Amino acid sequence: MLQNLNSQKPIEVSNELKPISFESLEKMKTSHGDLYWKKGNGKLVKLLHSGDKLDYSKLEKFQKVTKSLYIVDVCDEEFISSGKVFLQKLVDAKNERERLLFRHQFLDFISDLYWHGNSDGSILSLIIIFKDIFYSISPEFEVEMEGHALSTLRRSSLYSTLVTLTAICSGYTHGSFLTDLYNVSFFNDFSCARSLSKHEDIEHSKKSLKEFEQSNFYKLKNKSLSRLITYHHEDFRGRGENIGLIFDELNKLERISIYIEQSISYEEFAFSANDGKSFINELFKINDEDSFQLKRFKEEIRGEFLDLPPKEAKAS
Amino acid sequence: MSDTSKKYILNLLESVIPKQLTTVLEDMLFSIEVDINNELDYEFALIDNINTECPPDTKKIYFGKLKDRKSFFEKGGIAILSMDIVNSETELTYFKRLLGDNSTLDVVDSFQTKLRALGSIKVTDHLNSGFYCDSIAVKAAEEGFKFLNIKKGIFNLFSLISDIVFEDKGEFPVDVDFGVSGESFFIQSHFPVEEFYSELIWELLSDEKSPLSLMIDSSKTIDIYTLKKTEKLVVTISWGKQESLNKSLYIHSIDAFRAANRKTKIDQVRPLKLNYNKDLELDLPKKKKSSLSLSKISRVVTFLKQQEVDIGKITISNVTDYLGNYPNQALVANLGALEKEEILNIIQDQEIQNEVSSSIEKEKKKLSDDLLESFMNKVEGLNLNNINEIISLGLQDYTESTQRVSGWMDEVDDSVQIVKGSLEDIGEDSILVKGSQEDIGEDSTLVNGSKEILDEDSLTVRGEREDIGEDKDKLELKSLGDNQPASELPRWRTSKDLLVSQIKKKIANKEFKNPEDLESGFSKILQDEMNLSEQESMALSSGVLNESAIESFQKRAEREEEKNDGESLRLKDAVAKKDIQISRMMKLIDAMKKELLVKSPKAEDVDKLKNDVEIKRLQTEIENKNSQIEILNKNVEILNSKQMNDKSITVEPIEAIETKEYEARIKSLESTLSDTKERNEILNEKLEKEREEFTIRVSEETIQFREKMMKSQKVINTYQKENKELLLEIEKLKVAQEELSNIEPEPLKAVDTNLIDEKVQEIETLNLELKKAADQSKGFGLRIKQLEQKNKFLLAQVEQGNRVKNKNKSTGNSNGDNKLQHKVKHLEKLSNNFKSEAESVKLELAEKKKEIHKLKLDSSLLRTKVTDLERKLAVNKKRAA
Repeated sequence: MLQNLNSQKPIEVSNELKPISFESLEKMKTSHGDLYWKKGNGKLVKLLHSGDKLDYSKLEKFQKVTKSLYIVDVCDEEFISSGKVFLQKLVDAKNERERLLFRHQFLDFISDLYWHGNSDGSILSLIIIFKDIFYSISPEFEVEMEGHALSTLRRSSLYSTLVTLTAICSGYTHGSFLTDLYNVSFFNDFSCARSLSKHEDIEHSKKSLKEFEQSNFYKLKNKSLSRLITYHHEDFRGRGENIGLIFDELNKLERISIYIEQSISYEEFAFSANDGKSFINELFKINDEDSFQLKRFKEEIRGEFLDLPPKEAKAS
Repeated sequence: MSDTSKKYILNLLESVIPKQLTTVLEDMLFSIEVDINNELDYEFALIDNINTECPPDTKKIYFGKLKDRKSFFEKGGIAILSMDIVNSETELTYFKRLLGDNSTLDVVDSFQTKLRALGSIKVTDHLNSGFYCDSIAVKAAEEGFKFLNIKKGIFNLFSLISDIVFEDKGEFPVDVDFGVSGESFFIQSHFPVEEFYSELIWELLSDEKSPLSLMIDSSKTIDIYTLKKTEKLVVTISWGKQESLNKSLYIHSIDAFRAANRKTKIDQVRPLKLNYNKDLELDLPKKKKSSLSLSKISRVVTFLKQQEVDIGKITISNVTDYLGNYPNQALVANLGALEKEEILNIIQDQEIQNEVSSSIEKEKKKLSDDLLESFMNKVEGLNLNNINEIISLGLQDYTESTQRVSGWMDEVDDSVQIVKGSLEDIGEDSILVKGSQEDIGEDSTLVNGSKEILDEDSLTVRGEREDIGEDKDKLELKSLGDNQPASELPRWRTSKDLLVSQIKKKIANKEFKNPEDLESGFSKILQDEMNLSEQESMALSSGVLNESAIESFQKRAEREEEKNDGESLRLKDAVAKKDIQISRMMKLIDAMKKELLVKSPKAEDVDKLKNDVEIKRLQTEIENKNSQIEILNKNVEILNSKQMNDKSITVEPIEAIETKEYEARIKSLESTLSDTKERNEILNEKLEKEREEFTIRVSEETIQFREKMMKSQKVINTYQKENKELLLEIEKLKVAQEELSNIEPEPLKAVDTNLIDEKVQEIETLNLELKKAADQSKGFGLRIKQLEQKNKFLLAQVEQGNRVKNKNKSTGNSNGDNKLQHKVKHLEKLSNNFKSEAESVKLELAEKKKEIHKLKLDSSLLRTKVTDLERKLAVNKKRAA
């Protein structure tokens, strides 16, 4: 599904490398691209992978040896700023009418790139928008993940973004609820990241839930959302290999979580400047081999994206 | 024997079963039985007479109308249906689901035919339901349905869900789908629930104003069930185009409350919160709070225990049956499902009861300010019902429960003016009455009876006039009759104020030294002022004191909890910091280990083993620390859970000592961590030192090795020179031998004996030379062997040098490593050169040996010739003679 992420060509560093000031870096929470330090002999040393957490305190020391670092920036700063404004409005809205309005505005804003593919841009920009608005897990979590499971953390950023975006699209609008959903989605493979279980071990979902609850890295207001951790490897075809859930008993959110989990590769992601084009459209593309249930599920999501009137209008 | 593979349904309908129903049942492979056979297990029974006897554990489906729906469901009913369902595909779908047909949250799949989905919404908080309620009603109106009923139904559905969420039994989001199915407009909602039980729904049926009852009123069919695996409650409502009085209600697949089975889960997951109300959030508020205080719940629990009933048989549904003789029926009437749940949770948990008792005893050891304050509040809050309740429970005498508390009525005569307000003690001799004067007129009479509250400031007392006797300063307890809300009676209010003022006075005079004094003092006041017997007054006094102790304890626990919240946060932060430190240390050790693994090529390296052992030890230590951290985390959780319990029930307070204990643990952990750090640093220093020593030793050994190599080279050169000389001599010998072989023996005549002598002399010389050469060759061979041995030794040293070099690499990356590497390479090169030279010398030596052998052969040939010549010479001499 996400082959465009894995099959892209390696970045031509020399062509796209741009200097970036420390002032700009200080404002950045997430690296907008691969970040390099150019040594005196011209050799490049990679400091950060695109999408990684940017800890300015660690980069600050380079100020002593260089005026600027270098970045292969794959993000559109203006796009991110605008997206954050729309999403923040949705989160802050106090009544459902407002929420539906801001939801519509946000989806309308991103659909040009990520659904219709009418413009260029990276999926990393979307990840940064969501992370800047929703991320509120204890800092110890990232320290632990960076130490043991950096690739899992990178994947989780994409997974959480896509799950939350699809949930918004499906009509889940409450800020507190979406914040919980985004953050809890980081813990699906938490037990694997802690080396307490292997990903192939079907029990890792339950262990991850236990680890999540014990860690206190994030406190859920909507406690039932932690069930998504347990359900994330349920079989979408309705067989239910883990807990044994059947498709018909899953609600929309659970179906979204399971589908996105199945669709994202576990390989390392290398973001590029144009990997976001029609990304969501591709994600929910209907294939001939899809089951009847999966087809209908995709049709529902596609319907939401293709026809984006506010729910208000739909209902009335 | 029953055939377990077959499904049986009992048809006990007094009327004829409709054909459509029979078809449905047969399609679902049910065997329809009309007579009860004790050998068969009937899953369902169809009845239309509520008095029809059914086998136990059979789920009853009733056709008709029922007033007491609650009772029906409590006694094994799962549906009250109208026979109209047979005329609607949609209704039959509900019916099939009731009998076990697969249910789905997918609306399209639910109703295969004649279904038109009109939309779906997601309700994610309490405050957006109204908006959707109207929106859906508009859609219904567009489809030709009466939107008012639908709007009411949806509104009540959302109210019901909000209540469930508020009571912490369910959670948002609520997924709602709506549409048209045949002649019905339907709405299907589902949301996550936890520890949800059927009594919560049944309870609502008895209340006409509950959201569920209102939903039933405004709709045609309601289907409520749970999905067990995903723990969701599904509520489906449908409306016809015309209002119908034939309604259907399905409540099925929801587990009943089982206190005994649930206790463990409740204790672990969500401690009881009997008197707990905090952090009201606008987002998603949670109630999970009983309207009853713990002291009141304790009264009920005490009563139930006094009844000596089988506690295991008490359920939410029948608990009120066991409370028929309870002295305060007003309290029983107000018990909701949550209150009942909490009563059952406590009564079935001896541990909680013990905790309550021990908390009371602890609190009663000292007359604290909290206890006094609670006691005063308790007395001020007493009403006649409470008094009767407490005395009855104290005396365990319920026979006169309606008679004991009587007559705390107003006494009004011409000389009395009732002044509303409270008494204020301003000294020993005077009492100031605050409030306004109320003229009740000369015609007022004192009556005994019930009051009727008109508003907050006035009341009407119904009943008959009664002579209260001459002793008007004393109160008398007489019958209030049933359902008399007596707490606001002015006479009682005034008397209560008097009681309070007397107690306050005694407290101010420090007459109560301890809780026992307070108990007996209050009892005495009650006897003096209220005409209570000693037993009754002691029972009331003791009861009030015990309840005050509970409340006092709760207050203190709440304060401590607030304090401990901060402490807990601090501890959590400390633990988190330690986690990070340990994580960093682990990383450091991992990195060191990796470095050692990468740079140490041979496992048998002693130093590596030492380091491995040291690292393993450190890892074990880290693991121990991790386990300590885990224990600490668990302790923090336990601390939190205790704090939760403290909010609700009487459990042990978290003492400051415990906090100090955690602090001490943290400190000890810190010191252990710093020790580990120090050890790490020492290990690093040791490794660095060893690396430096190795570098020095290796460079010295390299120098020695070079010297040895130089010496070896010299020896080799010497031997090479000697070899060359030997070769030259051999060449000379060859030439000499050739010359000798070229000499033709002259005719015997011309042969000179002198010549022979010369030849013999030459041969002898040659032999000597040969011997010398052979000896030299042997010596040369010996030296070669010595050189080989030396070479082997040097090679071993080179290998050792290599190991040293690698070891050196593993302990650091300084320039010294590169030099050492270079030296070792140089040595290797020299060693290789030496080897090749030694090989060439060997080859040369072999050639020399061959040549010597050849010379020996020549020499022996020459000798033979000489012997032959000598023999010829001797013959010639004889002839000459």
